[in-house]
Amino acid sequence: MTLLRIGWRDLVADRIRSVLHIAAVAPIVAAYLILIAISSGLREHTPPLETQSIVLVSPNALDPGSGRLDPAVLELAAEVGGTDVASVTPMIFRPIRMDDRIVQLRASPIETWQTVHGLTLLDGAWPVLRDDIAITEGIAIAAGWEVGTRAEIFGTTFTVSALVRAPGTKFASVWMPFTRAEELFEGQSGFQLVTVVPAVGTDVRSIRDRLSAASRGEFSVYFESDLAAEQTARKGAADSLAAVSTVIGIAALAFGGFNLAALTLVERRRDLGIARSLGFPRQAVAGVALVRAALLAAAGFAVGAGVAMVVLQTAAASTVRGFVFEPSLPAASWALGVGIVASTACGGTLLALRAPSAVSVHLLLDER
Amino acid sequence: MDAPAPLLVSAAGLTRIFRRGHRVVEALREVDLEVERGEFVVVMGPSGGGKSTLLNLIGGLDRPDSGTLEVAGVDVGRASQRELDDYRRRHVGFVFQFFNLISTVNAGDNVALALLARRTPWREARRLAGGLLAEFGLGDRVDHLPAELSGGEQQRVAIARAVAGEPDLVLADEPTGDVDAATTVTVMALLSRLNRERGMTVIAVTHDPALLPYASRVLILRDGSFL
Repeated sequence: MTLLRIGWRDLVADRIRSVLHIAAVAPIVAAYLILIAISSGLREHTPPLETQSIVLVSPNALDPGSGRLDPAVLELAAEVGGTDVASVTPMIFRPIRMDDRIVQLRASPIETWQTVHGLTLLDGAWPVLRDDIAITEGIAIAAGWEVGTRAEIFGTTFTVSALVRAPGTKFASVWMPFTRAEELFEGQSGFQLVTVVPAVGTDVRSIRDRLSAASRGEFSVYFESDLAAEQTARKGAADSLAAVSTVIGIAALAFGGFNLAALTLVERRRDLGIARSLGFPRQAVAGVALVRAALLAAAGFAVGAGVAMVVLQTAAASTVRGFVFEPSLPAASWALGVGIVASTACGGTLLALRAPSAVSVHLLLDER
Repeated sequence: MDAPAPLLVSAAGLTRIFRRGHRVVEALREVDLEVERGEFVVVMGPSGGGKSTLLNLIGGLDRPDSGTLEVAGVDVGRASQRELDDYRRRHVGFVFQFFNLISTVNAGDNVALALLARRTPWREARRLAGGLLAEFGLGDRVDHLPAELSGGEQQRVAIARAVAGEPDLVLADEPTGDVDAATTVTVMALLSRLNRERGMTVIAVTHDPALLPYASRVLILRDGSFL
């Protein structure tokens, strides 16, 4: 208790130095927490990859949304696939402007949303009313929309009835029943994608080859996973970014905390000498120094955490390399941060105490 | 119960050598010294003559390279670090030329620290420190930081800290080296009073002849040896 009291009184008395120390620790802590939050957000919100379906798109289309498939493709695909194919589903795929945002609009028969496209309901209810739509997590994070939000598409006001999770390239998209989309675009749009789901146990590669042979240049055939290849590369880049962020955050916190604790004590070597000349044993001096370091570290962490929370609140959703994600700070990251700050502060203090402990007390008293 | 032995400090063949690069400086050369309890010894001599080194050794702030040194029954020359801590805590009070007050805590706390080192409870330490400062004419300066005090006031706080724990021995290293002539009288009168009234043994090193009238014995130390 005496150590705590002496340490506390010393910090209060030397308040300018204490404030400067806290001001130095806080940005490091804030940077660590922000980097870790970005890193965690990237990891948590990176969508899973696509399943092994086959997609048919307009030939040589750089952007699937710019193409248009002949309705006969549906019948051709079903005929060529035969019993090897579980379903053949058309999809309207258009980039549209909603509330000043360009988003993917995907429309397919609502009964295929879960079975073919792998959507999972997170909140609300699947669209029932005429102007109901569903949005994915990516849209919810980027636009701040939620169930009940009303948004205008092509001059018509729609209501978000469902928040869904969608895999892979569908991560950030708006979903509408196929018939409603056809009606909205007055049949002008046609459809841009056909998804062919192979039956269980069939040779997927054989189906793709048969469809390619039958296409006669009217459509291109891909595995859905091929479309996801670019997404895989982006996911890798995002993961790398997350890893680098984590390492930088931890390193900054560790080195910063260590050096600050050591430097603060080095500047007080004469005071250590005075304490030793009064008969305070080394352990007691170390105790006071550790108490000071712990109090400064705690204050620095608290201020830094406050700054980080404000920054993260104001930038709730971010986009990195095309991924929309929400920064998050898991309990483990908090614990790691506290652990690093505490251990480096104590480590720096003990290291700084090693040299004074090894020399005669009179040399400490000579320091100015 | 026996009276305490009259001999408080006993040094024989005390030698301290400093090595600075290739240069070897013999700060003390086989010094012999005996100081009885209640003496007021002033050690005079030029700068670099070994006065502060002698005081550092007697105070357990440094260790001799050879020779024996016993103070208040403690073999200071061979004591462990822990024993030296205990020795300084129980037997010695220091007064330094530049006061060596902790700049970030007030006068009361600076004095109380010496008592806290002796495991005196916090409140009691603060109370005793306040009383001692009042006795030294600093009752209204208890809550002042060292920077808010004059040189003479700082030195009186340092003396209060040195004697707070009722040590056997007060070691003063150029106690008037950083104060004016009027303050020199005040500081020395205070040390003299403590020596006279409380029976504290004082060893002061200085090159200021103004301290000589207060001494019961004067020693001259030059080039590491007593003349």
